[in-house]
Amino acid sequence: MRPGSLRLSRLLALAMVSACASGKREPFYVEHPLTRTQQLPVEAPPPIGRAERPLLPRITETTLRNGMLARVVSRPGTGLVSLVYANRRARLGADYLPVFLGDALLAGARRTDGQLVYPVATAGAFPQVRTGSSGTTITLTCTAHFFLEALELLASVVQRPVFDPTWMRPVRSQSQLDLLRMGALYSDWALAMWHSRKSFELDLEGVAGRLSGVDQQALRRAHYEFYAPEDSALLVAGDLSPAPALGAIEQHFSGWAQATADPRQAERSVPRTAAPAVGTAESDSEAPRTRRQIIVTEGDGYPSVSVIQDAPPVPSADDVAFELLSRLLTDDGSSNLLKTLRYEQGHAYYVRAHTITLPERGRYLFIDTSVAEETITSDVANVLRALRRLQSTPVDDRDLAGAKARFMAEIADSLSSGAGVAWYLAQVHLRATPALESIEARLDATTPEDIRRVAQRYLDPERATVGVAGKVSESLAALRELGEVTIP
Amino acid sequence: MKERTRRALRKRWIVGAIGLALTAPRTVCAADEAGPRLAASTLSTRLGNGLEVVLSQARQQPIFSVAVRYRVGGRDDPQNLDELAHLVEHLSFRRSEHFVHDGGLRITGLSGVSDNAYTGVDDTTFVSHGPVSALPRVLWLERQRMAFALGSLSSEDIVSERKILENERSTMRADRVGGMFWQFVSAELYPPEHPYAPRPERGCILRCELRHAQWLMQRGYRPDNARLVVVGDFEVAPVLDSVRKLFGSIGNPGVSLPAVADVPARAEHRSITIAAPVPRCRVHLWWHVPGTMRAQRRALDVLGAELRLLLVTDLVDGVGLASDVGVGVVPRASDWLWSVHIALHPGVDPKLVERRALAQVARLRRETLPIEFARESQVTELLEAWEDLDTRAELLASEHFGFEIERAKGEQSRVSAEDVRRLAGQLLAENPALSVYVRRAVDAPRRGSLYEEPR
Repeated sequence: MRPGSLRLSRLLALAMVSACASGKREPFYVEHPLTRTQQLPVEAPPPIGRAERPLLPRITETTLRNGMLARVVSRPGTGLVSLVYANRRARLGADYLPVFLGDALLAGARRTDGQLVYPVATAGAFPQVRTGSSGTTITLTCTAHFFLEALELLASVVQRPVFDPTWMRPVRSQSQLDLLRMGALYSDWALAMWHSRKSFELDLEGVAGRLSGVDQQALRRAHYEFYAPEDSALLVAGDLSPAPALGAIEQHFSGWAQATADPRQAERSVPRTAAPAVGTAESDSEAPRTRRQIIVTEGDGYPSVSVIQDAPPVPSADDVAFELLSRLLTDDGSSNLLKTLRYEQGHAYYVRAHTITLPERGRYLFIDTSVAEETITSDVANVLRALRRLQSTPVDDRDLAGAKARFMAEIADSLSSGAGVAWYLAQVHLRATPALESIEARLDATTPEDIRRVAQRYLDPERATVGVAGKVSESLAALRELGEVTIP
Repeated sequence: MKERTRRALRKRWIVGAIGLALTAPRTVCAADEAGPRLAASTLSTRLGNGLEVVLSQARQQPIFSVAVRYRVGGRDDPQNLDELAHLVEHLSFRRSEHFVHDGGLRITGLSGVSDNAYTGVDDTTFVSHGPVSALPRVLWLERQRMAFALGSLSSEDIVSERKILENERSTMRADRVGGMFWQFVSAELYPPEHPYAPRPERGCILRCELRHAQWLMQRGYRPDNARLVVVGDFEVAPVLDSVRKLFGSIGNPGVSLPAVADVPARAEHRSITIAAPVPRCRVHLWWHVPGTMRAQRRALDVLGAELRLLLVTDLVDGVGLASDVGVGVVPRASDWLWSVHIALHPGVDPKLVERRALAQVARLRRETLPIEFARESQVTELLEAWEDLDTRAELLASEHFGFEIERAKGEQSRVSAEDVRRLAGQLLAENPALSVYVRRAVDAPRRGSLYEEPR
């Protein structure tokens, strides 16, 4: 050590001592030892027991003479009541009209006594309408002592909408806006149809324009066609007694007449103002998929990636095993994919999976993530590798047990609030999914070999469709090595 | 928060023949004999090391929700390291000194537990929920995070998580203002020395080193700076014992968090326009809520609901100028904000909407309006929040210590029309502290260089 540097180090040491003595510390001073609890005992992690099965709701139900179904679940002590009207006829498919009609129901209605209701709200709550590919729901939650008022409001909206032209104006604008905002949904639909080589047309602005031509008369005819008691259900869960609640439902809905018109007549009478979003079987391509396709579209930020695969219909013998398979791929499962992409490589923030169902056009699995352009090729390859692994190797028993526990926890979670219970029962009416009472047994019976079997049956990484939204111009050449790149 | 998956049952009940008269109600699904278990009790206590503990029973399903809230957030980011608190939140998920798992400091794959975390301006909150059988393991993991995560961090973790953070930030740009909206707003509401003022350089977190993360974690993730909330189907006494054993022995370091600067927000009225490739124009109005009014939280909520009703009636249902209206209190430690957000229909002049909105505000100040609908909506919201386990956990983590639902409900129910008018008169000045127009500009750059326009 040179004498000069010794003097310098002494000076530095002196400066540090004097800084500490005067209480001054460097801006990012870290106290050592870092862990102030090193003396603490280190316990082994406690074991995780088997999850208890969800408590099933006690459902009291009746079918009205007009065919409408009513189900009530009593949840004393909550002070709340949730109502869901569910209609499986008014669903989003080839036609956007049911969505517009759903919005239009909230543009005023007539009460039982003939009085106009506008705006459509009661007891501190505005009803919410949602129309999807399985039907329409109208939901309302209020304090329990307003149950009868809420019931009256729902009955008015469903049976006696007014479609007043003045009140309709903002509703129409809102519907048109919503339509234009449905790009994300329709882009999933488009990718699914691309994957299955089925026809798909998309003209959102054209549909929005044609909605302007749907007048009061047309809406009335559409309401008659799409809203019928025999396809409807009212689901109620909350702080009430089932028998009086069912009596009140009967009083409000049993006078609603069944649709008696010839459906073909209705078909002619309702203007098909919305362009078909999903084509027909006749317009499908007959050429089978031969190789992997990569569809590249514009987007902001890190490119988002969706890998699309077929999914089994619901209900089917494979539906529960496939649900578990999709959990094994995502954040909620013991995802090897997430471990690789996030914790090992630092490439992805999330990996998720979801399924979509298109009316009469099939069901599809989407595995979604978001990665940087520099790594996109290897990341897509990792996703495809994970799919192949599911086909070739039985999953670890512990991973499968975790996926099963998550499945049951989601059900318990859904049934933990009145709104959740009513919504759940609405989904029972709208979708035919596995019966709750049998799920536990079916989960118990599902083995790693079952997961491999459904993976082999429905997954096909070699012919997968990969949707990429974002700037990937520098990576196109590399992506072409993974599959046929199309830029629509 | 992840959207909850709602699964359905297959219909198994066979309806009676068409034309049958109304049949007698029947119970069709065998529920547990005891039926839903809804009785609940809540306990609040503080351990010797300062950790606040809230245990709240919710017996409706065999599940739990846990929230651990540390009072460290964006306000604690150093001037030259924006998003340090967010980065530390990410880092705390990687491992601990005694728990190394290739899926991080999580147990999602083993137990059916789902978890997440959020970094706000004042705090960082870790949430998890799942089957109650996994609750002991989740509490054990939260102890690992609080006591043993700090010592396990490495420089490689910093490099990896910085990339993840950049990715996350990218996915958060859905508002098409490039994730910069709050930067613009905060710069107008607060002077540069205010803890909520935006840091001078965006993206400087990429310079973060291990010692910076250790510095913040050592100061922020400690018992005397945290609240642990457990909601679910459990007996309070054994869980409290377990919490005491797991967390009571964790000591606090000798250093403390840098004090949060007590700087007043800007007082004068300001207005800006942000041009961005947003799908629709928006109008945002903000008022500061004086500290003296914070005790009137329930009345503030009713006032918000009442103003929203007026604005929906006028702007959405009436003339159809707007499609959505949001009104509410944004309670933050150093400054409560009262916010109004209005999404406009295409082609609508934002000035016109702002004028009409302020006319409704003036009406609230001037007139004693019927508030039954607004009050009822807030009682319903409160009860809904309480019934949902996750929302209750977050409510208990953020509300004042010792929060009681029955008391809050009672306070909410007693808010009078005169209370609302008086509060409006005190709170809602003629001009808000800040008004913002977000203007649709399809030619505006998509990222990084959005611009403000003078009015």
